[in-house]
Amino acid sequence: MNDAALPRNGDARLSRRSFLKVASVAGGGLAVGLLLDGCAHVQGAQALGGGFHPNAWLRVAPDDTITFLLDRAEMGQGVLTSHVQLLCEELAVAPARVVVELAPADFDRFGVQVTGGSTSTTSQFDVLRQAGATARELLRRAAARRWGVALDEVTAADGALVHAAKGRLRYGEVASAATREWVHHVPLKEPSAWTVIGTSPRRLDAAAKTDGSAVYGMDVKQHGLLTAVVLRPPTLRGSVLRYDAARALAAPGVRDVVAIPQGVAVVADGYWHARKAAALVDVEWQPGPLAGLSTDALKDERLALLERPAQVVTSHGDVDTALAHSKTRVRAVYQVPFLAHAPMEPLNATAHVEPERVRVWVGTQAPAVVQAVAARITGMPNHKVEVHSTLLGGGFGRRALPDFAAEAVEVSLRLKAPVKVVWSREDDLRHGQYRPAALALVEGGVDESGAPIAWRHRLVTQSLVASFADLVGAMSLHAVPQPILELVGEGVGRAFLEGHVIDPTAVEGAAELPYALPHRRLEIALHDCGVPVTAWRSVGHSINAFVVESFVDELAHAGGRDPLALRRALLVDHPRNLAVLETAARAIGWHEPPAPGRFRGLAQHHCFGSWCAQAVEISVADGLRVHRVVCAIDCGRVVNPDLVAAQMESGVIFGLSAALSQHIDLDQGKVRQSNFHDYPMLRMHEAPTVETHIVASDERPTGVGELAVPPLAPALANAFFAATGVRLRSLPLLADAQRVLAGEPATSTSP
Amino acid sequence: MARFTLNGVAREVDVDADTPLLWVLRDALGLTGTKFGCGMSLCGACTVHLDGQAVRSCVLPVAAVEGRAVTTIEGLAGPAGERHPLQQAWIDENVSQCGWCQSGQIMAAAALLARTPSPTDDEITRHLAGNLCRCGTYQRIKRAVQAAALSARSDVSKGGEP
Repeated sequence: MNDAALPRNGDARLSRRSFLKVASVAGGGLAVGLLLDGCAHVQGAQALGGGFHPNAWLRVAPDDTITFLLDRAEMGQGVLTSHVQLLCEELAVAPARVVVELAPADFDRFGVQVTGGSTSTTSQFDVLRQAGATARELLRRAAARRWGVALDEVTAADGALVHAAKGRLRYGEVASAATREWVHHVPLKEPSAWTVIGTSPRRLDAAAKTDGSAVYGMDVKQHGLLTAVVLRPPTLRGSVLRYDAARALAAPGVRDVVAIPQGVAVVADGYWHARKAAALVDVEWQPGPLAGLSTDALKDERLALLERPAQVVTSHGDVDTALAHSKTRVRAVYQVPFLAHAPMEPLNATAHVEPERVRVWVGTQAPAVVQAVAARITGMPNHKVEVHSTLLGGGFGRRALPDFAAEAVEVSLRLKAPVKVVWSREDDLRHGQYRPAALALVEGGVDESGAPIAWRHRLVTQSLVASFADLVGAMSLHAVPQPILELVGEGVGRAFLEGHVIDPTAVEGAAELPYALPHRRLEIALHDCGVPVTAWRSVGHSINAFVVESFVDELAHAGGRDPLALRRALLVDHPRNLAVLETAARAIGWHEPPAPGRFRGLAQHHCFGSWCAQAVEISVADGLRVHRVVCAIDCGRVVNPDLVAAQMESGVIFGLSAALSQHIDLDQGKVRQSNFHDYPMLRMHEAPTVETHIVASDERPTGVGELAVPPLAPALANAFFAATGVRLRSLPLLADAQRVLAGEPATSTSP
Repeated sequence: MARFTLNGVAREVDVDADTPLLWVLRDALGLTGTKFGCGMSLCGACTVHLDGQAVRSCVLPVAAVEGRAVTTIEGLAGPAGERHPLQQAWIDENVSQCGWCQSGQIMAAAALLARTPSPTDDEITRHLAGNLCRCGTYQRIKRAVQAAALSARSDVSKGGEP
C-alpha cells in the first residue's frame, strides 16, 4: 500500500460528540479523523473540536507516555483495570504501561458519566475496544508512511510498530504524525484472538493502595485549604431555626461558622479544630416533618397497606382461583429494614468557589450531577464548573448523590476560600439516604403433586425514583432551560408517587419470575413516608430476591420437594438461571449430605443482565455461623476473571453483613444508629470462605458489581430453615436466629 | 508543641496536645495514607505503629506519642524504598478493592508479623478482627499475610534480610 491509499485527515469533519455516537454503534461505521494528542501539528484536532483536545479516553505523548482517561468511578469494583484491558486488547500494549487519569466531568466528551447499575463493562465494552483499535491503526499508518512501506507489512505489538526490514518505532515516536492520518471502520479482533480480555493482570491501582499514595476525596490538598464539619439537625429533614456561634468562633483555629441549607458549618484550619468547635455551637433546630416518625409506627402503616388490594404490576393466569383450588396454601409476610451504605471513607468533598470559576474535587459516582448542582448553587454556567474526580473509598450507590459535594460548594461560596467538608461516621449513618424498608405478603399454593401453581405477591415499599426527581431539576442539561427541567422533575416525582408510573427499581426481581408458575400476580402499594431513600448496592433486587427465593423454598417444603429439584423443575425455560444453579449446587456437593452439623441453603437470581446462584453452608451448634458460600455467575464474556471473583467475595460479605445484623431505625424522627458498634459490619473472624465459579459464555458482558448481594440473604435463611425447621422472614436475622437457637420463638417470624 | 519520631525522622509539630495523632498526621503533616473511618477505634482504618505496636491513631492524643516512634504506611517500605513483604503480597493477591481500609490492615498485619513471623490462620484472624473492610477482602488479606510470612521466611533461609 502506498501513500495514495491513505486518506488525508482533511476528510475528517466529525465533532467529538458525533465521534462518541459513532463509536457507540457496535463495530460499525466508525470514522475517526484523529485520536491522538501531544503533537505540534493539530489541524485534525481543530477539525474535531475547535481546539487542541485529545480524544475522549486516550493520549499518546511523544515521550511515549500512554494515558487513559477513566470516565467511570473506581470505587473498588476494578473498572480502572478492566477498562484499560478493553483499550489495550486493541491498542496492543500491556495494561501495566498505561497511565490512568481520572476524567473530569465533561458531558460533551463522556456524557452523564454515572457509575451505577453495574453497567460500566457493558456500556464501554465496544467503545473502548474501538478507541484502542482506531488509535492502533492510525499509529500503524503513520509508521508505514514514515518508513515508506506497505501498511500490511507493519504490525503493532507491545506498544511499538514493527517492520521486518525497518525495525521498530515506539508509539510515541509516531504519535504526532498519527494525528495526520485517517481511518475508516477498523474491525475488532475476534474473541479467539484476545490476549488481554479474559486474563487477570494485577490491579493497576494495587500499588498505590498499599503505600498510602492513592488519592481519595479526603486526601485532596489545596493551598490554603480549610476544613468544615456540619452540625446537622437531629431529626431527618429538620432544619436550623437559629444558632449562636460566639463560643465556637473564639475557639482555636476556627475561621467561621456559617448556616447552609443542610445545617451549620464550622470551618477551621483542620478537622480536629472544626470538630471540637462544633460542640460549642448552640443550635435551635426546627424538627421538620418527620419529627414524630418511628420505625415501629412505619411498620404498622405498612402492615395496614399489606392487607388491602394494591396496584397490579404483573398478572398471569387467574391467581385467586388457583389459590382457592390449591391442595396446600402458604402465607408469609417478609420484612426488610432501612439500610445505610456506610462506605469506609466517610463522605467528603472539596470546593473552591472563585469569581470566574468553581472547582470541586470529589469521589463521586456522578460527576456531571455534581457539576450541575454546583452550577445551580453558584449561579455559574456549567462550563465554568470543574469537577475533578478522585478514587472513592466505597460508593455502593451513596456516592451517586451530590448532597455532600453541594455542602462543600455552599461553604466555599460563603468563605470565598477552598473548603473541604468532612462527614463523621455519625453524620454518615444518621443523615444517609437509605435503602428503603419494605414488607411483602406472599400467598402460594401447591397441587397434589407438590408443584406450585399459584403465587400472589404484594409489596409495600417506597419509590426511590421519585426521590431522584428533584435531581432532574438540578441537572442543567444542555439546551433545556432549568425551569422546564424542574417542572419535569416535579412531574416525574408525582407520576411515580401517585402510581401513574410504576417504579422499576421497586419491583425489579419480583415483577417477572423465571419460574414456570401458571398463576401469579404482583401488586405494589407505595408507602411514601418521607424518609430519604436511594439506590443501595443491588437496589430493589436486595429486597425482592429475599422474598422470592425464600418463598420458593417455602413452597418446596409445602409440596415435599427438594429445594434444588423444585427450582430445576420450574426453570425449564431459563437455561442460564438453571446453569448457575446447577453449578453452585454441584460445587457445594448438594447431592451428598453435608458434614455432620452443617446445613445448606440455595438461591439464584437474575439481575443487571447477569445470573448468580449461591449455596451457603452454616452450622448452628455454636450460634449461627456461616462457613462457606459458593457463587456461580454467568455474566457473559468475562474481561477479568479475578475481578469477577473479587466482586463475588465483596457482594457476599456486603450481603451477609446486611442479612445478619444491619438495620437503620428511627425514633421520633432520629436515626438510632450512629457508628460501627450499632451498625455492625462482618469482621474477619465472622467471614465465610467464598468460592466463585464462572459459567462460560459467549454472550456480551453484563453486570457484576451488585450481583452477589441479592441471593445471599435468602440462601442464608434457607440454610437456617434446613438446620432448624424455623423460617426466618425478617431481616436482619441474627437476633431472631439466636432466639430460635435458644429455644425461644423468633419475635418477628410471621404466622 | 509535640515532638516524636515519624517514619525514622524527628518531628516537631505545633498542635494542641489533645489532637488525635490521626489528624496530626493528615492535616498538620500532610501524610494522608492513614485513614479516618469511625473516630471511635472501631474500624482500624487509622492503624499506625507506636514503638512497633499497632495502635488506633483516631483516638490517640498526640501528647501520648511524645518522644516515641510512630510509623505510618508511608514509612513501612525499606530504607531503599523496597516494598515490605506485606505490600508486595497485597499487590500479588489483588487484595485491595476500594482500598480505604488497607493501610490500616497492612499496618495491623505488619505488627503481627514483626512479633509472630509464622502466624497460624487463627492468629491472623484474631489479630485482624478489629480491622473492618466494607469491600469484604478478608480472605485475600488472610492469603496475603500468609504469603508475606512465607516469603519473609524464605528470604531468611536464603540468608537475606527478613
